[in-house]
Amino acid sequence: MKKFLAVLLILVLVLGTITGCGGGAEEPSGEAVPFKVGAIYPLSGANALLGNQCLDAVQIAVDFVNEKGGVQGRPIELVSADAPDPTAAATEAGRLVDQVGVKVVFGSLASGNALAIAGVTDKSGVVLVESGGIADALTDSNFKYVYRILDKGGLRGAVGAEYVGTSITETLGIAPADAKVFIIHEESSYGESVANGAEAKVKEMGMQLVGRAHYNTTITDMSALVLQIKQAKPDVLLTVNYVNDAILLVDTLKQLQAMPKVFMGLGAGTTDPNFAMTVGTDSDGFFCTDMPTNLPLDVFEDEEMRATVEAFREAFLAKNSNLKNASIAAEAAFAGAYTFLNNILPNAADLDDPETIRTAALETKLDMTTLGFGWDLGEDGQNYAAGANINQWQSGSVVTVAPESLKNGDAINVPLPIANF
Amino acid sequence: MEQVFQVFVSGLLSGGIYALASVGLALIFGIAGLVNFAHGEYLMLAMYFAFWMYGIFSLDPYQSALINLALMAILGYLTYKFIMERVLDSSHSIQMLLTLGLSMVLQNLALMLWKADYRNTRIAMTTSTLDLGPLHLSTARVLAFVVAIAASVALYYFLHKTYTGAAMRAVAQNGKAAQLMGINLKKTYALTFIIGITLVGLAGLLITPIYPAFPTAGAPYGILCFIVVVIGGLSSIPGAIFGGLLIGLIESFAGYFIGPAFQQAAYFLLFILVLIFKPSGLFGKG
Repeated sequence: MKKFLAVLLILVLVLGTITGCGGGAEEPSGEAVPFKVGAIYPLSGANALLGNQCLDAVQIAVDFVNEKGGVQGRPIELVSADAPDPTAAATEAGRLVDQVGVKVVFGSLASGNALAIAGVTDKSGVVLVESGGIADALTDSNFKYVYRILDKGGLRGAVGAEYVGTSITETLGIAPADAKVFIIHEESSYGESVANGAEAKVKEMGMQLVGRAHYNTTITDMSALVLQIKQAKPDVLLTVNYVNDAILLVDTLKQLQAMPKVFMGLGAGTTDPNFAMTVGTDSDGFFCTDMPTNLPLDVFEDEEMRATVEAFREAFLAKNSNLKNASIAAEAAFAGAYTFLNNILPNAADLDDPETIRTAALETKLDMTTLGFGWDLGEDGQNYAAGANINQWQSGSVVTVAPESLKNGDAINVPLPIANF
Repeated sequence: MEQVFQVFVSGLLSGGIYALASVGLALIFGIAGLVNFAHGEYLMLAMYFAFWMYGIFSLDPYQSALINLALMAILGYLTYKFIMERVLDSSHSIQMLLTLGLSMVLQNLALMLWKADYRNTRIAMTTSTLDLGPLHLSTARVLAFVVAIAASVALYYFLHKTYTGAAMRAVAQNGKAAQLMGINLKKTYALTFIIGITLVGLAGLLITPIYPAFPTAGAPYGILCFIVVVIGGLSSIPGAIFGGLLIGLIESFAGYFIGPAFQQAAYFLLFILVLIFKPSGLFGKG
């Protein structure tokens, strides 16, 4: 009996080895081995709305590339994972890497989740293509296989503050040195990064920083914070929020009669369509600095890219019929996945070797992605061709007022008609 | 000085809502001895009810209050009958684990039914203010405060001036003795749970014009209620009212004088100090 079991064990091991050796780019049947990629987004919890939109966008990108024959002849298989918070993000990243065997992960909407995922994927030589988290730490932490398609927080904060120091002070008729700025931000690495960039630029341009405060996004009463603002009487409020706290902030500013002349959001919260929808006509004139969004199709000179952007918008709205436009988060998620699958991976010598993927990611230079800017990674994995726009809410729509090359309208309501000082 | 007074009043207004949300928890623990970690989720459900009443029937949260509270009472009874009654004699750790699971089920049920969208109930009162000289008070918060304090005081009098209230207090003091005196324990527990859930529902509908409804909207309030109840004294109704107001004031003053990021840390600090120096709470016995 013992001999029989020993023989059986040897047989199983030998068969297992033979089957294992049969892997590679082609299965024994002759069919190409699917190239597995993961998508980790908050599909439940407070950020599930945008998380699900991002997953839709990544799925569309995968479908588009599969329709063109996949990557290097291998069909792409997308495996999704739900990460409502960083702990779940790390756990799910581990599952995708160890159990599913993905080589690339797309994510993550929130910076905290991105950092948690990167901590797991990078050690295993799995690539994280980030198209949501903008915390500086993500590309400042010496990760080798983390590539971020969009701008980083510090740069975004600086873009917003620079616009204040130039265009807004000019419109207000004051010198930058006389402009009083107050910065408030939610306290995660995302808010901190953006606010740091803004503060540095405010100081560099000689503007007066009359206050800086941060808060937790679970805050339910912003009276104390707004009273600090009221006492400082700034001309400009630079804010980094998520949508819920952004709405609470505006309501409290109005109730305590502390609305400054200029309200400039520097991140996701104030660009979210729900923000303007909820605040109503009072949002007319609120600035929101963010990635380019819903660009006119003629910005894309390349015919194939224009068709891709158009097809994405159509496919996305078919999946999200309650929306008028694709959200910025979804556009970025699509751009990250599509660019990487369509433009970067085909240049990798071996799809199963992260080193060759890294080489391809760093050596490939693109003048344009579907986000309206190019692809040019630094050694840190940051896309230095990415930029931010100065947008403004006007009659419930986002109008781009800067930079000059992408603007589709002029700034209005500077100072705000509802300003209290 | 005006600013400090504004900080004080803002803190008091928030504290009123915290007090109302917390008295239900204190009541349930004090009388039925049940630990309910899903308390915040009932607040979230009341917010959703108020939102849908407004969205579908154009009834603002105040107009739909009676329907909303009736729904919460039914929900409270069903929760007691089918879930809590079964763990009446179990240890607190079992009750905690059960209600923690219940809170996750309710959050995910809300997510499944209504998605993660922020559901704002914007009525005229959302942004209107009462201007009293230099003071600017949110009308919705003032109304929430007045109703919250009135409801909390009414509960106190109900417990001390009515036969049913006396029976509930008797059960709290000694369940077996109360039973020997002819008080139906299970009915008393059920009534306690119904009142507790209805009160947190009232808090939920009062904050609906101020704060959006979403699946995890109740979570911060749930934690806060526990802190209030522990600070006040686990089963003390006056303690919960005092604790709620105190937390509101601490939050407001810490936010203004130290920084908004310290708002929560400040009341957690107080929570730790109370646990160390007076574990039975400020109004607790023993």
